[in-house]
Amino acid sequence: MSALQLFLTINVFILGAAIALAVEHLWLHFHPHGFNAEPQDPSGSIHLPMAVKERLLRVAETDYQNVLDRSVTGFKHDLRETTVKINDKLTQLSGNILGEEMDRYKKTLDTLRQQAEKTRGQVQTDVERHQAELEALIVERQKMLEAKFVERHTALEKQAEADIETAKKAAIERIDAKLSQAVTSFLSTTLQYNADLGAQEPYLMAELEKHKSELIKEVSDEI
Amino acid sequence: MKYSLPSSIISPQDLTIAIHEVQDYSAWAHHETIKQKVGAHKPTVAPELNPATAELLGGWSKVNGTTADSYRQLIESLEHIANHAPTITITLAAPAPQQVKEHIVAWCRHSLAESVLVTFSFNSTILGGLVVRAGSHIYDWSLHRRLIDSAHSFTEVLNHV
Repeated sequence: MSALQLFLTINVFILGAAIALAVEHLWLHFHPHGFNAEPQDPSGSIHLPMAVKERLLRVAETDYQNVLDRSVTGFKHDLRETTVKINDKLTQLSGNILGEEMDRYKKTLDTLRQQAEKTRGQVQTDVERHQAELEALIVERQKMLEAKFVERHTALEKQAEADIETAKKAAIERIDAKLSQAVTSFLSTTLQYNADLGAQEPYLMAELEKHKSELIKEVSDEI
Repeated sequence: MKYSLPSSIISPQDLTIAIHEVQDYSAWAHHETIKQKVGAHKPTVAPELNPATAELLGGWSKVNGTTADSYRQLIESLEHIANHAPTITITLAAPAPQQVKEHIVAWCRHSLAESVLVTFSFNSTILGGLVVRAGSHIYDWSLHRRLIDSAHSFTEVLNHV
């Protein structure tokens, strides 16, 4: 328990006692006990004359009023002091609390800023590294694509040349075949008439002599 | 009895005609012989023979005589040849003259088989040379085939002109 709290507790007790006394006196003032004028009161009370009672009452009221005034003044003074001290303490406390919170906030901010700085630095490093990797990859892919393009282009050129050559050969062969057919047809049409077998006889005998072995085999098989 | 056909009997048809004519001639000779034996004075005219059959009979008679038996043997030989002789078919570019046919047949009987028979036909589209069918094979040695087979050579020659 702090000094402030202790002081406040003591003040509360004093204030409570003063208020209890004040209430009691106030109650007695507005509800006095009857003065017993009979000297033989079996309860033992003393009976006084009215003037004395009134005078005592006035004196008591004055004393009571003085006590009340003093108490009130003291209470006001104490209350004022207490209030001032409480305000001071509250101000100090709030200032301390605020200061501590501000310090903690600043520390937290610093920590966060440092973390953010660190993260930013790391991110920047990662970004730069990743950028360098990407650039290297792009260069490598570009080289690969260029090489593939050149290779494909060369292959296509060769294929096109081969196809052209093949088509040319095929066209030449078709032309030769057509030409041969035309000449053969012309000769067949021209020479099929007026064949002179007498003049061909030596050729016929030569052909038979040339293929004699084949004919001998066929004739032997038939025999 | 083995007999060599003359070159004038070329094809199976010629042989068949020769056999029939020899049979007719043999029958006529036999009748004339009988008439002579019985003293008949009216000889009949001999059946007409084509030159190939006449040549065949003349050659046979010189060696074997003109008896009925020899004629019978001749007919048997000819029939044997007709039933067993190999046959080839030669196609030429035009109808062959008899001389060409006889030369070809003589070569065949000298080089291939003694009694080979040759059937001749013609086809002007072959242009020249001959197409020979022997057995199940056909040998195209015609000029037309040579032109077709030489188409490549023809274009090569043209390229060098």
